[in-house]
Amino acid sequence: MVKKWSKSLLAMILIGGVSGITAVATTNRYLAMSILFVIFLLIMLYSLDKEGVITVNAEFPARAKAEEIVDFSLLVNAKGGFGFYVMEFPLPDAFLLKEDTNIHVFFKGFSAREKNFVFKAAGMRRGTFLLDRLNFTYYPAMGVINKKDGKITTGGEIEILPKVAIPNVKLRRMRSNENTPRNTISRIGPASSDFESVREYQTGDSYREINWKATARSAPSRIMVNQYLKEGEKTVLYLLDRSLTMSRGTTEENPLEYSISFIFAHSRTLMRENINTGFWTAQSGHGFHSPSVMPSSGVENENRFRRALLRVEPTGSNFVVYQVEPKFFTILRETSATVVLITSVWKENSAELANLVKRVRKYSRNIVLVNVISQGIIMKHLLTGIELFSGKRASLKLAHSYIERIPRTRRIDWDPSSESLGFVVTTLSRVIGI
Amino acid sequence: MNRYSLSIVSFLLLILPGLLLLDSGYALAAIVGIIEIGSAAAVSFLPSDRGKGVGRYFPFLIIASALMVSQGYFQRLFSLAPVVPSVYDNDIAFLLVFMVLGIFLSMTSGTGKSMIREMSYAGFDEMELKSAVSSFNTNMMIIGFSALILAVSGYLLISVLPQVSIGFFPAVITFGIIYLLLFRVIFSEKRKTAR
Repeated sequence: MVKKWSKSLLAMILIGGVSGITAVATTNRYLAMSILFVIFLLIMLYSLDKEGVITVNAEFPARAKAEEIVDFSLLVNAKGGFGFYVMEFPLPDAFLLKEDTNIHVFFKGFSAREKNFVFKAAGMRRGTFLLDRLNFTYYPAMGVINKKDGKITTGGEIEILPKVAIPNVKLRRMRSNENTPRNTISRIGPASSDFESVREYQTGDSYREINWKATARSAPSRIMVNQYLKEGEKTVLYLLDRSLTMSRGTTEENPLEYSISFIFAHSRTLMRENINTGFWTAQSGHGFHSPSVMPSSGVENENRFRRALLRVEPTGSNFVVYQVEPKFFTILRETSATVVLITSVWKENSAELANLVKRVRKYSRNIVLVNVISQGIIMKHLLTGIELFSGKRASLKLAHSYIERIPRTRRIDWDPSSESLGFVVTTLSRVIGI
Repeated sequence: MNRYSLSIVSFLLLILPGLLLLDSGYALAAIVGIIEIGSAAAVSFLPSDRGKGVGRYFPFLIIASALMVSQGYFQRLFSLAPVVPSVYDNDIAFLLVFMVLGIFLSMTSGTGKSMIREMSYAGFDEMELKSAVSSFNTNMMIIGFSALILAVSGYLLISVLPQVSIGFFPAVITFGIIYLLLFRVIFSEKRKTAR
C-alpha cells in the first residue's frame, strides 16, 4: 500500500514533468495547467505533512478473573498531521482476543479526529499485567514512505485472578483431627470483637467483660465473663515451592497455578477467622527478590496476599536448591507458626525438600506438606476425553520412593485434575485446626 | 466516499477527450474516441492494484496518447490529417488537466483498494478499513479538485495578465527548479526512512 501510493506520487510528478516539457516545447499554454496541477497538488500535500499529536484514554477494569471476557475501550484523539494512523494496543501473551481486534486504523484528514475503539479480550492466566502503552505508526499522505513510529503511555495494569472460583464460605471452627502438636496460641495482640465463649472470672479480667446475665444464671459467687478472640490468635505461614517442578503441565494449568488458587482460598478463610497468615516462597538460586507477605490478618492483608500471589512466577533454573528468605525463619522462630509447605514432589526435588523440611522443623514442629500431584494435570491434557479414575493412586505409587525421603510430616496429596479446591481447603483446615 | 464512486469520478474525468472525439462527426476520430474511453474504463475500473500486468502502464499511455493527439503528432505520424482533423487539438490539450486529475483519483482508488486487501489479511477490521479508506478518498478528492481549481486559475491568470507570461527559457528554468525541489523533498523523505 505504502509503496503503491509513493509510486503514484512519483508517477504524478513524472506526468507533470512530461506535460511541462511538452508545454514548453510546443508553447501550448493549455498544457501548463497539467504541470500547475501537479505542483499545487504536491505543495498542498506537503504543507499538510505535519507531525500530529495523538492522545489516548484507555479504559478497562483493574481486576478480572482468568478467562473472564474483559471490555477494553480506547478513546483516541488525533490533532495535526494528514495521513493514516495505524495503532496497536499490545496485549501480553497471556491474553486472548475474544471479539474485535486490538489493531486499528483511521485516516486523519483536515480536522481533528476522535475515534473510540472497543474490543474484548480474556486473560488466560493469573498475574499482574502492564497495559501501559499504545504503539502507533503514522503514514503521512505526502511521503508515506516516511512513516513515523511512536508510543503513547496509557499507564494502566490489570490483575488477573486465578480462574478457579475462590470458595467464599466461612468454615466452622474445627480442631485438628490429628494427634500432633496444637497450634500455638498467639500471646500478643488485642482482643477482637468476635465472641468466643463465656467463662469464670479470673484475676486480671476487665470488669467491662463481665456477663451479668450469665452471672445471674450461674451458681452463687461465680462471676462469668465474656471471652473474646484475640487478633491474630494463631499464625500460619505458607511456603510455596517455585522450582520448575511446579511448572509441569500447561501455562494455565500446572501445580504452581493450582497452588496459588489454593493459597488464595485458604488464606482468606484463615484471615477471616483472625488467624495471622504470612507468605514466602522457596526458590532455586535467584536471590530473594520474590514476593512475600508478613503475617497479619484482615482485609488489608488479603490485598497484600492478592498482590503477592499475582506476582509469583516459577524460577528459571533447572537445579532445585531451595533458598528461603531468612526473615521467614526469624518470624517462624518468634511465632512457632504452622507452616504449610506447598510443593509437587518429584525425583528432582525430593532430596532438597527433605533438607528444607529439616530446616523448618528446627523452629516449628507444625508442618503440613501439600503435595500437588501434577501427573493428573499432564494426563488430562494428553488423554482428553478419558476419565482418569486411578490417576492419584497411580501417581502416588510412582512417587512413593521420593516421598519416603522426606522426613515424616503431615501430608495432603492433592490431585487438582480430580479433586476440587474446596476439598483441599477443608482438608487442610481440618488438619491444622482453625 | 467509497472506491466505486471515486472510480466513476475518475472515469468521467478521463473520458472527456474521448467524448469530444466521438462528437467530432469523423468516423476515425470516433474510433480513436472509443479507444480512449475504453482505456479510461480500464484505468478506472480494472483491478490494476497488484502492480503487475499491462494495466499499470495505462495511465502513462493514455496521457502520452492524449498529448500526441493534442499536438497533431498522431495524425501526422500515420498520415491521418485528412480524416482526424486538428480542430480539436487545443480542446484536448485543455482537457489534459482533467485527465491528470482522473489518473490521480484512479491511483487513489487503487491505493485504497490494495490497502483494504493487505490490511484485511493482517487482521484489521474490514469495516474500519473501509471507513479509513473512504475518508482518505474524500480528502484526496478535495485536494485534487482544489489543485485543479488552482491550476485553472493559474492558467487564467497567465492568459489574462500578459505581464505574468514567461518566455521559453525562463519557463524551462522555473519548472526545472520546481521539479528539482519536489524530487529533493520526496527523496529526502525516503532517506529519512532508510535511516
